[in-house]
Amino acid sequence: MAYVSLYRKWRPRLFSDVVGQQHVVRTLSNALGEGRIAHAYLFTGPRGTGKTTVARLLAKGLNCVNGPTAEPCGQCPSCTRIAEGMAMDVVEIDGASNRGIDEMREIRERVRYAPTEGKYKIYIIDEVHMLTNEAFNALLKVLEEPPAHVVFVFATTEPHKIPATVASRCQRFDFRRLGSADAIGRLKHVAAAEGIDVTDDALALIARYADGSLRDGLGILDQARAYADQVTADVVADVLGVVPLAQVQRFADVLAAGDTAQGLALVRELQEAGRDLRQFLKDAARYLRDVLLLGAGDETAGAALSEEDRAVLERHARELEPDLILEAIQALGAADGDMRWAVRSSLPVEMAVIRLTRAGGRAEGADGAATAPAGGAAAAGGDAADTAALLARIERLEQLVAQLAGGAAAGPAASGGGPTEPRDAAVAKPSVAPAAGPPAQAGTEAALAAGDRLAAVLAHWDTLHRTLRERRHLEVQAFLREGRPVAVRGDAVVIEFPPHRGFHRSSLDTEANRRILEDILKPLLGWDVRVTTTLAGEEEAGTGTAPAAAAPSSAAPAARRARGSGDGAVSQGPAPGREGGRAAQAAAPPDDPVQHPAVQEALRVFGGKIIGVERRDA
Amino acid sequence: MSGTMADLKRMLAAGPPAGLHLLLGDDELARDEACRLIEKAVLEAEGGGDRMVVYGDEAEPDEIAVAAGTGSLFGFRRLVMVRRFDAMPAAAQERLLPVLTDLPAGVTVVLLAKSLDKRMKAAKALLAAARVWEFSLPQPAQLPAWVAQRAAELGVRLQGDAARTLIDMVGTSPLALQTELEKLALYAAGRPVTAEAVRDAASVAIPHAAELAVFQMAEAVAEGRTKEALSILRDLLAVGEYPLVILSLIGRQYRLILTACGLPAGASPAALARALGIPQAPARRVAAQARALGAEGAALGLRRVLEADMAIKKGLEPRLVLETLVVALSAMNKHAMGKY
Repeated sequence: MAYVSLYRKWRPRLFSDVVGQQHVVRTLSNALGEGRIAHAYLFTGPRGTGKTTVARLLAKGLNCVNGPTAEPCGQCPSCTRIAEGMAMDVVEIDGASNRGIDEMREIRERVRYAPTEGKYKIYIIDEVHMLTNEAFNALLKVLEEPPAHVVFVFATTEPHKIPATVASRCQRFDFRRLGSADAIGRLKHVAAAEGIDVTDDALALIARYADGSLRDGLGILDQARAYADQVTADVVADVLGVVPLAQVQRFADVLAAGDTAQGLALVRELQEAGRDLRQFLKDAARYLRDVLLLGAGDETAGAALSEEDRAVLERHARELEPDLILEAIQALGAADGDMRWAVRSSLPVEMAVIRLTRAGGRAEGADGAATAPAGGAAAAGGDAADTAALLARIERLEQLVAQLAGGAAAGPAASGGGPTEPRDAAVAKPSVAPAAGPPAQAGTEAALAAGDRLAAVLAHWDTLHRTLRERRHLEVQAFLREGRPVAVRGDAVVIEFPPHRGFHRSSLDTEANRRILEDILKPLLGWDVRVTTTLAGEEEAGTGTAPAAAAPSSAAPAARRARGSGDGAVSQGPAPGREGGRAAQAAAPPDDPVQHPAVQEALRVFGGKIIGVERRDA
Repeated sequence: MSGTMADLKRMLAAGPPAGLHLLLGDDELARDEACRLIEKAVLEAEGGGDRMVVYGDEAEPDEIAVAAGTGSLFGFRRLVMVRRFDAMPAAAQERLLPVLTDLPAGVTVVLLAKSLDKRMKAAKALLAAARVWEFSLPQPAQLPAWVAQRAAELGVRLQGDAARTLIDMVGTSPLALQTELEKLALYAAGRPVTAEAVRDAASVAIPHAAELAVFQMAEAVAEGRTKEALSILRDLLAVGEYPLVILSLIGRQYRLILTACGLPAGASPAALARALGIPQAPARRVAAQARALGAEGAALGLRRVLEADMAIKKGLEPRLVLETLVVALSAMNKHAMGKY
């Protein structure tokens, strides 16, 4: 026997089978029961909500041997022929392909003739909004003088395209999208009857993506059961090509924690798992929408989620500020658009992640449109420059992340991180480590800038080695192999060697060798690089008490909000391990204010020169 | 001199109508009902008769002239109805004048039109020769009573604000109101009909739907009632309303608010209505929103709408954009209302 898809097999045969359209079913049932039949009905509503199905049920009710009746028998020749689509008196017309005046004139001619089998001749015109104006005009004439034995049922997804003159002569029924509970209930019923092993969260996911269309929901269930014996949420996600909810929840966690490294790692994992990043952007935006709506008091938000996932949604609604969510939704949308043009499709996503998790997208103008002044040409120019800078930064960070993930399993993330400590926390830490001296805000910014520069150096470290090899500076490369960059002070890249590699350090640290390194690094980094070296012991002194940068923890959202509000209070948690401490040390402002990282960064960004230093005592 | 529906009923009570009748006016429902009354009177009168319906925009004058110029073959009377007579070219109307102004006994001709151009020769002659029945739309103030009366005739017991709610949803077209009342009668099946039942079962008039609902939504947004605004938005989307239509109407609302911001503080409701181009009641509400938001707030709202427009056109999911827009505007306005 030929396979029949679920949605066809489970198409309602009785009015009582129709789900989620009680207002329609009740009125039509009463009309059939009382024999008060209108000569024209207009069924409007989104696709898959039951318009054509109810039209056929109405036809059955009218032409059943017991009819007009609200409960057609389903057994009589008329009912069975209608169910098979073979009834002479039920004419189904596709308005999209029979849209001209000639077709309507033909109908005007035909309606004069009495029905051949039943009591009524029923014309069901689907997609009626596709008719031409002339065709509507012809149709209107039939509606103005309808023969008593004719009933028209017009179905449309776009009621506003129906001329008011036609619509006002029809009894109109608005079909609504199915609510989650109704959709899940019906899907569960069908799954049980069909013996499909399906989990509740899978049903919830199906209902969510069916978006109120039961036909679509049954279609997804049909595909999923062909995919695996047990239909789980992961199976449904695979069928739909969507990102599993857990990943989206993790993204919300990343936002709440302001954890750039984790965010970038998530993007990388999604790519490695072959997930469509554009779909991820859409899913993440939808999820954040639910968080936003729930936070705004809309209890229906996320109604299709399981209890456990709903609890997570509620937690996110508590943790995430509405402004950040709005900003995130905009940034994700913008990233989606940018992906079409980006050379590397992941770049816009990573850029969005960085914008949203770092100093707060709003402060950085990440949401451009949202925060830019209305007249925005200048803002647009600023955005473009900002975008270019961010792209460059992302490129560097991406390489850094890859490098760290690959080799620098550089030891477990120091102390205090716990299981949620980002794997590449060493990257994140320097970038947000607070400065020791006043003013706190400037110090934080400086630390951020220094962290960026260090990240850039790390990102180009492999290139440096490769270039040394290519230029046959093999000896320099051999010495350099024992050291690694640990900080950037002003323009100076600090290369640290282990205590027992003093020979390598002193061998490398000659004017000629430094120049070789600087000549390679300058074009890569884009600033006037100087190279300095140090032994690990020298740098360790006095670094043990510096606070660590923000790491994901339950307090992280508060910290993020504080950061967003500009007080720079990002430090928390236990004392750092070696990496964090070193980074903090590197970022600490030197005694000479001219060498202060913030001053150096300001010079780099804005140009100009220092014409004097004025001290102000507190 | 034209007659009313009551006059027509009185005339028909005296016997089947004869001669030329001109049914004019914007009230399609009343014209149709008058037509049916005449038809019934003619065809059900002793001896019976036949009926012919033609349309002014497609019938040849000769076809009408032949039908109107000869008596019935099957009975004592003949009824010729010409719908959309005003769509017939003036020259064709003139050609019919000799027949229409001198109908044979037993022939009734009914011409239906919204209006006739009284400057034209044919119109002048017809208005002079015919019994004219004019059906204008009820005045807005008369509508609630009209709805209540029609509901009673259908056995519908409207309660509380049900009539007002129905008019708000359906608009002022008697034909649309009657259709919805017939549906409500079936929905209620003898039970009293409350405003809530009307909202559940009645269909908002298509050209009117988004406008009305968006106005309500904009009000909820303006007063920081996020939940309600989201609920209305969801209803609109649930019935398949176009997101860009909704968005454009939200934008319109903010333009109205911005316009109201520029009007003098003590402007009368009539002056407000004139300036805004909307009726007085909504104009007053717009003025209140303008006071709460201020020009700056309204401009910001308009900018948010523009951003949402761009976001949709750039491919962001429209539903998501609209929902976030509503939350953003609502949050902004809640703050403004607090200040106000």
